[in-house]
Order: sequence, then C-alpha cells, then structure tokens
Amino acid sequence: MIVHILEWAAWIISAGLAAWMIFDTVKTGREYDETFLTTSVEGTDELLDQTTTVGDAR
Amino acid sequence: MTDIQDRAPTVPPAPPAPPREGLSLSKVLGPIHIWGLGVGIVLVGEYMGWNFAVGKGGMFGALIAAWVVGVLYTCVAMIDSEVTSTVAAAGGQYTQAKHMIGPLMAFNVGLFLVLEYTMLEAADANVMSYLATTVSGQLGYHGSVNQYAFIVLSIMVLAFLNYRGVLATLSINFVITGIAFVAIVVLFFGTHGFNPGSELHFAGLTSSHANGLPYGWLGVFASLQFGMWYYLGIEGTCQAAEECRSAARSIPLGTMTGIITLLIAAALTWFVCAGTLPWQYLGVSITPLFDAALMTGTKYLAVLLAIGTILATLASANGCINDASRAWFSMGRDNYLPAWFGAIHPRYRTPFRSIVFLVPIAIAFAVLPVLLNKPELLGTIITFSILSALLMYSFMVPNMFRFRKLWPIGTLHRGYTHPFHPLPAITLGLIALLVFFATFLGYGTTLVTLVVFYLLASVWFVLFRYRYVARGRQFTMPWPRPKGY
Repeated sequence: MIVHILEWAAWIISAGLAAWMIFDTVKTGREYDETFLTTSVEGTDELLDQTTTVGDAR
Repeated sequence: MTDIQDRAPTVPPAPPAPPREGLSLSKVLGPIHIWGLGVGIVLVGEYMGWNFAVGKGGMFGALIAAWVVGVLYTCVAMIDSEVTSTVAAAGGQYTQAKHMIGPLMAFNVGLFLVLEYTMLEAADANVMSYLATTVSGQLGYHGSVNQYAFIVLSIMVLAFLNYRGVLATLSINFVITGIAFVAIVVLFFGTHGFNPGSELHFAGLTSSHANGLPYGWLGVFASLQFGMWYYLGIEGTCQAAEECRSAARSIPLGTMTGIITLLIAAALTWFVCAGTLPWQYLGVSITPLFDAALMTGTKYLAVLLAIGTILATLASANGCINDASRAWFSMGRDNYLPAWFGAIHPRYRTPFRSIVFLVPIAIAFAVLPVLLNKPELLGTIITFSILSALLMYSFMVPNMFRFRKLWPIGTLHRGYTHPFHPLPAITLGLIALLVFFATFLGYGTTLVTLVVFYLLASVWFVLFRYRYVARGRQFTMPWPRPKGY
C-alpha cells in the first residue's frame, strides 16, 4: 500500500515540477526580449585579459 | 601605518561599475564545487559497474584495468587542467576544439559530450528505479514497483535543481559525493582493511591461477572496457569553467584532487571487494560495494553503503544534467544549434532551455530497457556513453599538441602547466586506442552504429547548419596571436 502511495506521490511531484519548468520557460521567453536572453559571451575570466605576450604563470 | 593613512590624500570612492547589459552565467563556483562535479559524476562507477571487469578478466584483470585506465584518466585530468585553466568557457572540450582545431571537430566534440552525459544520466535514473525496487524488497514489499515513476521523479527533481541555479546544485553534489566517498573509506576500516587477513581474505586469489586471472591476458584486455567505470566523467569538470570565480585556480585544483580521490576510491573498492566476495559472484553483481558490506554482517555498514549507493547515483545524474546542458547551451550560443538554446535565465543565470530540452531525451533512454523489457539495453546505453567519451579523449591528443604549438609556454597565462609534455598526450592516445579495440571486441555493432551516427550528423552540419554558425564567435579569447599566424 505504502509503495502505491509513493508511486503516486512520485508522479504528482514529477508532473508539478515539469509543469513549473515549462511554465517558467514560456513566461521568461515572453517577458524578456530574445536578444537579451542570448547575449552571453563565453569565457570572461581574469586570465583572459591578456592582449600582449605574457610570461608563464606556473 | 596610521601616519601614512592619515597623511594620504582623501580619494573619492570609485563609482560603481556600470551594470552589464548582457546576461552571463553566475560566476560563483570554487574548487570544492569542481571536485563535487567531477567526482560526483564518476563515483557511482565504484558502487556499481567496475566489477563487470572482474567477470571479463578476474580479480587481477580488474586490478590491471584500474591501473591502466587510471593512467589514461590521469593524463585526461592533466591535459584538461592545463587547457581549461586558459579556455574558461562553458562547453569545455567543445570550446577547446573550436579554438584549436575547427568547427567540424567542435560540432562533433559537442555531440560527444552531450551524448556521453545524457546517456550516463539515463543509466543513473534507470539504476535509481532498480534501487527503489531493491529497497522496497528489503523493507518487506515483494509486489511489483512501478519503475517509470521513480525514473521520471529522479530526473525531474535533479533537472529542477539545475534549473534553479548552479551554486545550490553543485553544493549539494559536493555534500552527497563526500558522504558517498566517506562511506567507502568507512567500509575499508570497518572490514579491517589495514590488517589484511583478519576479515579480508586474499589466499584464494594467489592459490590458483584460475581465481586471479581466469581468462589469462586476453581477459585482462577485455576488462579494460569496464575499467573505464572507475573514472568515467572526471573530464566533466571543464563544463563548469565559465561559472568559476577563478577558472585558473578552481579547474586544476578541483580536477586534480578529483582524480586523486578516484584513484584512492578505486584502490579501496577493489581491495575490499576482492577480500570479501568470490570473483564469480562479483563479476555479475549489480551493487558490489553494498554486497561487500552485507557480507561483513554489520548492520550499520550495510545501511551506510546502501545510502552511499543511492547518493552516488543521484550525484552522478545531477552532474550529468549540469554538463550536458552546458555543452548543448554552448553550441546554441555559437549557432552550431538553434540560437534559442543559447539563452540564459535572467533570474537563475542557468541555461534553462537546454536543461528543459534534454529532460525528455534522458527519460526516453532511461525507460527504454523497462519499456521493451530488455534489461541488457542498459549496457548498450552505457556503452554509448563510454564510446562517446573515448572519441572525445582521442580528440584531446591532437588538441593538446596544437595548443602547445600555437601558444607555447611563455606566450599565454596558464593556471596550470602539466609536466612531461608530450608524454601524457601520447600515453592518452595509446591507451584510448587499446580501450577502443577492447570495446570493439565486446560491442562492435554499437561502436559502428555510433560512428555512423556521428558521420551522418557531421554531413548534416556541413550541408545545412554551418551557414548559420556565428563565425565571429569562433575565436572569442583575447589571446595573443598564435605562433606562425
């Protein structure tokens, strides 16, 4: 009996989480401009600020 | 000191930095998160999977596989630590390929990564449903358990966690991975592993050739494929580079301590299991460490290792969702895939669309063995993951040579510089070739299927996708001009 309750609980929690993620994904897409959401630039790190020849930093 | 401060002219505080116009992933991770990510993905392999090497090559075959494949992964960790400490971008090896080799290689490496982690995640979720069945059996319930419910639940909960933010996701991974690792150490002490002969018995291993190396050197060769389980996934640390506070420090520190942890865990696991269980049983066991704990007859060890098994499985699936989504996101960001996937959530700073998109794919592969009532399909799914990883390791060899050739030591800041180049790259290439061949003998059809899939995907990319690739984003690192260009 307890196993059946756990199975149902698993389905209900899964459905709730899936619904929330889909809802939030759609809501975010509508609230924000697409160009804003896709503006990220890769690799911003202190090591990348190196436009000249540098010494090895071992 | 006070004098100097008193005499110093009053300097008005610097104006606050203007807010960034674009979005970026959160830079919140440190070395412990990287350790938790890398070891978390892998440690489940100690709890289950490595022991199939025993079935192929006996106890000594599995030990030799642990050593040989351990060398392979030490090379992987060294190379990744050096290159990723410089290429601090999500996508890890995909971004390396983009900078060092070219778009077609980058596209393939991106696919290798996504397939490796998604398949591993599917396998983890499948194992979770098996563990749910086992636990309910231990609690006295012997009816049927709906495995679909627990497969879907484990993937959904972890996807939700990943969706909401990387800091909580990898902090949890650090904690549960730490508990799972400590459980192995406790088992070693609980079985008096420091005093061989008292509770662990090795006499049978050396008394007969049939016990230690039942299939000779051919068996050792065959066991290499399953030796991958001890360490598969440690290279996943690279995917978090863009989210580290300092990738130059966190990636090498997290990755190198990670591979050291795994080498210790592999040695302890083999040692305890070899002294507790006969090789004939170990070779087919689903949960060898848990079985070893049961053999001790100590209840607390059995409970601890059961918890460790569940936590290691969860940590692995959690890390896989993190890594697969970063690889997919990076490819979207560069238009290798539709740019829609390159979006970042403005509140949680995660690649939310990539996370959500990969959920049904992982669920589909996880339920397949249950749906078709073919448990052996789980092995095929895991082999997809292993082979994709092997293909990626093969790429790392020319990648490392080109990296050192184009940007020799002294021309670029490196957070870590690995020693003895080119020895690690050559060793990696040779051992990867050996494991490829061993896998081909066991899963030849799967290997051919996978290669055909990647070839077809490459044709699609060249004919239909390359025209959309954001060429201006191919070289985003503000590095000095490469040598010879």
